Order: sequence, then C-alpha cells, then structure tokens
Amino acid sequence: MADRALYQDFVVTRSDRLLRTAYLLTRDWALAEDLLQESLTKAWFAWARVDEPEAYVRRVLVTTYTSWWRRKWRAELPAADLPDTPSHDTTGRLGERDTLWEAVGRLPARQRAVVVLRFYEDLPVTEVARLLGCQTGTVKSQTAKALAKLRVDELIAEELHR
Amino acid sequence: MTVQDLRDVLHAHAESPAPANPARHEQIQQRIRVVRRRRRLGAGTAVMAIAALGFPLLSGTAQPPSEITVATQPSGAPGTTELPEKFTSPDGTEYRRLALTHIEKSGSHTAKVTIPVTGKPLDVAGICTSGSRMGGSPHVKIDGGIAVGGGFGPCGKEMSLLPLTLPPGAHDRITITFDTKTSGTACVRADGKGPCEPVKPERAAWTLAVYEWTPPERPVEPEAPRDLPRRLDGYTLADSATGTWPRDRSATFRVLGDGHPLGIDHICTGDLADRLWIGYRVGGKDSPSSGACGVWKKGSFPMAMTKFTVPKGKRVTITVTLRMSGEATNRPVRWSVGLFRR
Repeated sequence: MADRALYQDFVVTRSDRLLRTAYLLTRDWALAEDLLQESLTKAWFAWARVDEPEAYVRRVLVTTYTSWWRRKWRAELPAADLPDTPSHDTTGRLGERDTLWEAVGRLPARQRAVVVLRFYEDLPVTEVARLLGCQTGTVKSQTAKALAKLRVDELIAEELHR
Repeated sequence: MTVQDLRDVLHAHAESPAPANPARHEQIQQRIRVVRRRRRLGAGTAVMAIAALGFPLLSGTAQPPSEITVATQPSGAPGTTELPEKFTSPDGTEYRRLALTHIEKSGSHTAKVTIPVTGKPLDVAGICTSGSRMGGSPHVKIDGGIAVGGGFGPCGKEMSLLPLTLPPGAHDRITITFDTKTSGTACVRADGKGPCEPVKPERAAWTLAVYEWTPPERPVEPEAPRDLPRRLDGYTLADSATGTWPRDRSATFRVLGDGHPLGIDHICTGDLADRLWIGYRVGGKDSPSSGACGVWKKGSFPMAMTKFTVPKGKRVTITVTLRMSGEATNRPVRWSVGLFRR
C-alpha cells in the first residue's frame, strides 16, 4: 500500500519520465501534460490501495489515452491502416526515421500503446498484458500487426515473444 | 528498418526537451478539487469517505530530512564555479547568491538552507555535477510545506533557474529544502517470468543555490524570436502573431474550420522566456492544454504543438493567453505564436 503522504514526492520525481511516455502516446506535449495530470489525479483517489504506484499510474495513463482515442473528442485521429503507397514528404527532407516516427503516429491507439510499452519502456510481454488488461497472446499479435504496419523488419522473431 | 531503429526513434523523440510546467502541482490540486466537488454533488457518502482519510491534500513527505546545511558550503566543491557568488544575466539582471549547498550521489537525499527574506525576487539554481541523465533531480520546498512548481529536470550540466515564490506570511527567514528522494516504485520481470524485481532508482549529485536578483532599472527588450517554420510535422503555417509580454498578454485567431486539425505552437525570447505560460481558449471555452513557451536557440524547432479540431464551416475564435510564472519586473519576453493548418 502506498503512503499517501508520499504522493507529492511521487508526482515531483516521476512526472518527467511519465510525461515522456505520455508524449509518445499523444505526440503532443500539451496533450501529454493533460494526460499525465488526468492520470495522476485518478491515482490520487486510489493511492491508498496502490501497491506499485509507478505501474499503476502507467496503467491509468495508457487506459485513459485509449479511452480518449475511442471517444474521438481529441484532435488526433490516427488511421487504422497505412496507405499501400507510402506518402512522401514533398520537401524530400524526411529521412527513414522521420518516416518511421510519422508511421507510429498513424497506428491505432492500442497498437501504439503496445509499441511504446514494449520498445520504449522495454516491458516484457507479460507486463504489457498486465498493464493493458489482456492476454499475452493479444500483446504479441498487436505487436506483430504494429510492426508490420511500420514495415519494421521482423527478422528478430524473439523480440515478439520475449 | 529494424526493431532497434524503432527503439532509437522512440527514445530520440521521448528524450527531446520537454516543456517545463511549473504549475503542474497547482493544476493537479485543482483537478483533485474539481473531482471531489463533483463526487460531493453526486454522492454524499463519498465525501464522507474521502474526508475520513484525514490526510491533508498533497501533503509533503512524511520523513524529516536527515541533514541540515545552513547557507554555507566550502568553496571549490564541484559546481561551485558554475553557481557563482554573483553574476549578471544577459538582460542586465544582477544575481547575488544567498546560499549554496550540495547533495551527493550517496548519503543524504536532502539539504536545507535558511535565508533571510529581503523582499527581492528569489530564484533557486541547480546544476548536476555527476550522474546519468536519468538520475533523480531535486524538488524544492519552502518551510517544509509548499513545493516550488516545476523542477530541475534531468541531470544537466548547465545551471537551471527556477522562480521561488514565497508563501504568504514569510517574514524574516525561510528554510528551503532540496530533496532528491524518490518515492515511486517500479519493477521489471527480466525474462517475462519469475518475480518482479524492483528497479533501483538512479542518483545524481547536485550543487544547489538560492539567489536574490535585482532587475534592470528599465525594461530590456529581448531580440526578436526566429521566424516560425513554414511547415511543421505535416502542418503549414497559416497565421501568426507576435508581441512582448507584459505589454501584450494575448493573441487572437479567428478561423474557419475546414474539417482538418489546426495546431498552435510558440517560441519566446528573453531571459525568462521559458517561464511564460501559454493557455488557450477555443470558441469561448478554456482548453485544458497549456504549456511553457518554447525557446529556440539552436537545433530543430522545439515543437510542442497543441492541436484543435474545428468542424468544417464553423467559425471559432482561438485566444492565446500568456501568463508569467514568478516575478519578472523589467524583464519582458518577446513571443511569437503560429497557427498551423494540416
């Protein structure tokens, strides 16, 4: 059980890291701040029952983000599928990594969350499944779909199943 | 592209400079109050349960700091030269150090300094003298209670300054506590099985100081912000406004929605540029989005675009409001706000 008196310390010390995760989900620093604050507010009311504050807030962050996306009242509307022919930046200045970043932004919310948790937070499949409240098989299939959409080389098969 | 490329891209974007939010603490408090009020209206019993917890809202750390350092520190320690006794900022503001202290990578997480209240504006300064970028940064409290908004951010090798606003009733002396203690817990299962092993928090060493400052006698106009980019992440610059705070405290855009997202981004110049806080009002409603003004000195544009959707054919007014965090006498900030269309 988390000590409620330590909530403020948690906010101060962990916000920066959580904000960065929120940014990868929302791709907008202001929205990320909004998402972080919403999640921390929810956490405050559950604080006395929370055993692992960071894992708890991260879970709230992801579920709040996906619920925003479902409601579609946020500005961002990622496409479910990438076009068959990738669009090119007219200036021709975008490198492969810029293109990859743009493609991550087009992933549906759930797949983007899986990508962020697996490849930024480096969480194992079981932990991602626990955070998202789904089966490990679902995480694996969502990862595979996301990587296919991102056209990421899947030669490293174990990445999917670790 | 490989999975490693994907990891690199995610890390590169996530580790880019995040806008500071000195008001986060207050904003979360406000959200908690709103939720409590809503619950109180919805269910009287819920109010009783929350009140019965008996905890002060956002109270401070339960443990007292174990070490007290009072406004002195040996010279020659790491970081001392970077936090000099006196310095003058580019806009002519004279800073005078009132106290200096250190927190090492091992040992006590806290340091305290006691300073006289002179009536002049105060800043706290910090510089990370050793440690990784993920090393914890100190948070700051005044007289053991009210926390200073924002923070020093990741372990950085350049001096950071934060405004220090005194609580009501501060008279002769105040005690400022710097604390690098982390209270969150995290664990990982390295192989996807077995027990969840706690992640050991990283520590960094910090040199910290409190400065009072004397503003320039007359306002010093900063240089004009650089031109906003014409294209930004798939958006095109459609309109812009410029001004100088405190003379100009808002900008207004009247837009006709075309069904595509709109974005607003901003940059500022001046020594206090990153303390200018940008808020939005869209179609007469306050937007929950807000952020510190971006500072663009070098490298790529510090994008922090706030996005809106205006239905096709609908006319709305977007008002951008600018608010300064902390004291800023005779220290204007020039700003440039751009409206982008997708």
